[in-house]
Amino acid sequence: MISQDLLKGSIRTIVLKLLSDHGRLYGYELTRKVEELSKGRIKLTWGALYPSLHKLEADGLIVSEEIIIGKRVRRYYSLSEEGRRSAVLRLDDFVEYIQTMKAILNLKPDFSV
Amino acid sequence: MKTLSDSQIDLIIKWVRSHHLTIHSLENEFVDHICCDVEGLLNEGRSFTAAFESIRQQLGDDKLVGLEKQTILKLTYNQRIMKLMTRLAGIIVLLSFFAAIVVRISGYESWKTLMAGGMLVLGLGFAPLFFFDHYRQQEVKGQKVLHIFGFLSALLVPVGAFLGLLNTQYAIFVIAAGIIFLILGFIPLSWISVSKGPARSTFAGSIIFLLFIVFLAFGFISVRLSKEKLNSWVHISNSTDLSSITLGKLNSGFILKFMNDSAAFGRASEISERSNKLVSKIEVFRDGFILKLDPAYTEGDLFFRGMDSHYAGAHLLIKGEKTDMILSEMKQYEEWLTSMISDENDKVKQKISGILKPSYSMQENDLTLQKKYLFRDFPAITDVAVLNSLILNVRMAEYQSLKFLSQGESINF
Repeated sequence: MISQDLLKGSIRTIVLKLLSDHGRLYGYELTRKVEELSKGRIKLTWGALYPSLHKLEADGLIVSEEIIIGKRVRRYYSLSEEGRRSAVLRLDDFVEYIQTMKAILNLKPDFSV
Repeated sequence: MKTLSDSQIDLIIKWVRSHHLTIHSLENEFVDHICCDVEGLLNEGRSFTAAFESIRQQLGDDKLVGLEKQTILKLTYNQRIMKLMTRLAGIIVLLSFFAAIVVRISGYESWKTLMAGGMLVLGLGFAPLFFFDHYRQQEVKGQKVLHIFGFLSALLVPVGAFLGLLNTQYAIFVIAAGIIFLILGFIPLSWISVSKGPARSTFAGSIIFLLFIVFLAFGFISVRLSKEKLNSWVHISNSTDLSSITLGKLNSGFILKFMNDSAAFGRASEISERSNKLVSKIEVFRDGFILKLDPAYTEGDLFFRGMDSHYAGAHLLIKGEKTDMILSEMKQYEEWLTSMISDENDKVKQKISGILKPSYSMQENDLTLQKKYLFRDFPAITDVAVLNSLILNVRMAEYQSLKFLSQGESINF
């Protein structure tokens, strides 16, 4: 399981990427998708997911629509125009970040005998 | 695939609502998320009661409230930072003003720096942040316009006061523009808002209004103080001018004493002629400087436009080539006058040199340094006072020479 501390800076990117791939998703669906794609190694907690979703919406990167399903109200999220642009940029940045980290970590001296 | 019945959903809704959350959309999301989680457990073979209990235990009693708080904190992060910065700017402004008052009462000059710093933070920091924050919160168009007027006044009045502290020529116009926005925009709109709006806007309006009174008071005080200072320089400049005119008349009368001694009369006339020539050159130079600032200036006027300009001296006198000429002629005059006195009368020589070499004698070999020393970053009226003092020095040196000549002790005279 990947720690929440490591995940902290990546949640916005994960959400934007998933919405970019799947069009529209609701909260529970997002947590399931992340779990599924990471083969259970990443678990999005409520505390990480919902504040991030509302912040992304306040920043204008995603939009929401509420659909009534029986007695439940389901809130679907999808990317706004700005969010679409931001998703591409963030993903590029993130890939670059991963490559940089990889390069840095590969440079570590090998102490094994 | 098992799904929840309406009554089971009602139970979940009831439990979520018992937390009294304030963000309705978040409440709906929590209900839906819990329903999905419970449905997942139902499909694993658990009963509704066991599944719901398991989720409740995972979330605990305060998890949902905590999540809402976390969301609010995340959403209001920028506003909180802005509020913090506004408060910090406000504290800096108050401390600067308070320190300026204490320093002023103690009689030190640095109060102006403190006051100017406070004015700048007020005009460029506190006021924009304060009004932007309030502007953002307003939904009614009239209230938004009110805050734009407030912002403009709060920006212009302290910035004008800051310029006033630097004796800048246009300070009063900047303050006047701020006051126009205040009187014609902010106050009438505040009045409407107070009489029609809720208590909150009345309170905010009063606070803003009080703040403005403070801005205005400081603005006017600073401008008034600089005017007093300028007036004192006008007085000094005028007194120096009058003294040199009086001394010039006295020197002219002195020459009559040498009527019986033709050699001494010739020398005295020569001194007088050369002194008059130098004085008139400095006068023309001085009047030219004033006329460049105020073309409508006529001889004898005490005040002239631009007399508070800090940059006139730097632009017209320090950089001006004519200033070099005047200072060089002052030096030549001194050399000429002292060369006529024999070395035996060294004390007289030194006295005349002392009169003509003003306090810039330390840098006498460097003309640029001399100019910078004489015409530093002061208002233009002080530069005029310096030029008048040069004239007075010539007249005093002339007087000393004539007095020495009248005593008949000179060899060369």
